[in-house]
Amino acid sequence: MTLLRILESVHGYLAMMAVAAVIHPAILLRKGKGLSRRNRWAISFAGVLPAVAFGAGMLIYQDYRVLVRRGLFQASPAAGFLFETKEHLGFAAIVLAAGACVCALVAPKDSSDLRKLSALAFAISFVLLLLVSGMGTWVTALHSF
Amino acid sequence: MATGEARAAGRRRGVLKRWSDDTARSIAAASLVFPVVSIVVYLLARIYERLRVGRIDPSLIVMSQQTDFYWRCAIAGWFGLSVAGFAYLAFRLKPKTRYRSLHLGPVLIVLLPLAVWAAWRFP
Repeated sequence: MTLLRILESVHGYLAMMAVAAVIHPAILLRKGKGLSRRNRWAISFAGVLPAVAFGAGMLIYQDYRVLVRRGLFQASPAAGFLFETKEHLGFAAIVLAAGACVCALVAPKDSSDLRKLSALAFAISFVLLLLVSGMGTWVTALHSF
Repeated sequence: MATGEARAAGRRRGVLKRWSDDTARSIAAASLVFPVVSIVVYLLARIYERLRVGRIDPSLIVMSQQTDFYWRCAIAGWFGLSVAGFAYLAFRLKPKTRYRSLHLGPVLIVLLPLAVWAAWRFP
């Protein structure tokens, strides 16, 4: 197994962990209650993990462009386009998770409305991350490093 | 910065309160403006790129020498942060009411299908 395949797997695992991490605050914050110290850690984790997964993807992106993209489009143009779609949705998911994380952590105790908005943003981020992970897994199964 | 009273209240609760509630509320609301603006700017940048080229051709994607994705993310993130900064200043002027008038909840709900549609339509 090459280093690129290992990095690709790490990126995939991190993305799956991010999906699981982001749904937690979406449930936790839905009623807008105040946060305990443990909840704050969980929310911070959910805000940071999608960005870490995205960063891991960025590490191998240049190699993907050079080594994989051409073969992927030859194998299946639909899968090639699906990967491009995944990139766009990935960006949307990480900015939503980051914004929701800051909102939930900074909102004062009486601002339950802001925490509910944060829960909504985390929920949308979860849906997007689920789509992104599914697309990524399917494309990787089709053609990879 | 927090007033002495707020700091004292924070110490009583066992946490050091760094900001007043109005400041915290404004930062929290502005932090939700950041993803909304970033996603909208990203969508507009992508739609503009696609309309400029005129058609979706796999060979154009494969042969592309630039990494447009990095630039698109950086520009969208920069715009998002800038507008969030301005939004923070606006919320500070009237902190309790301003962010409610933005209706961020419906905007976020509309943004999900819009983002999925645009990412699918303009891959």
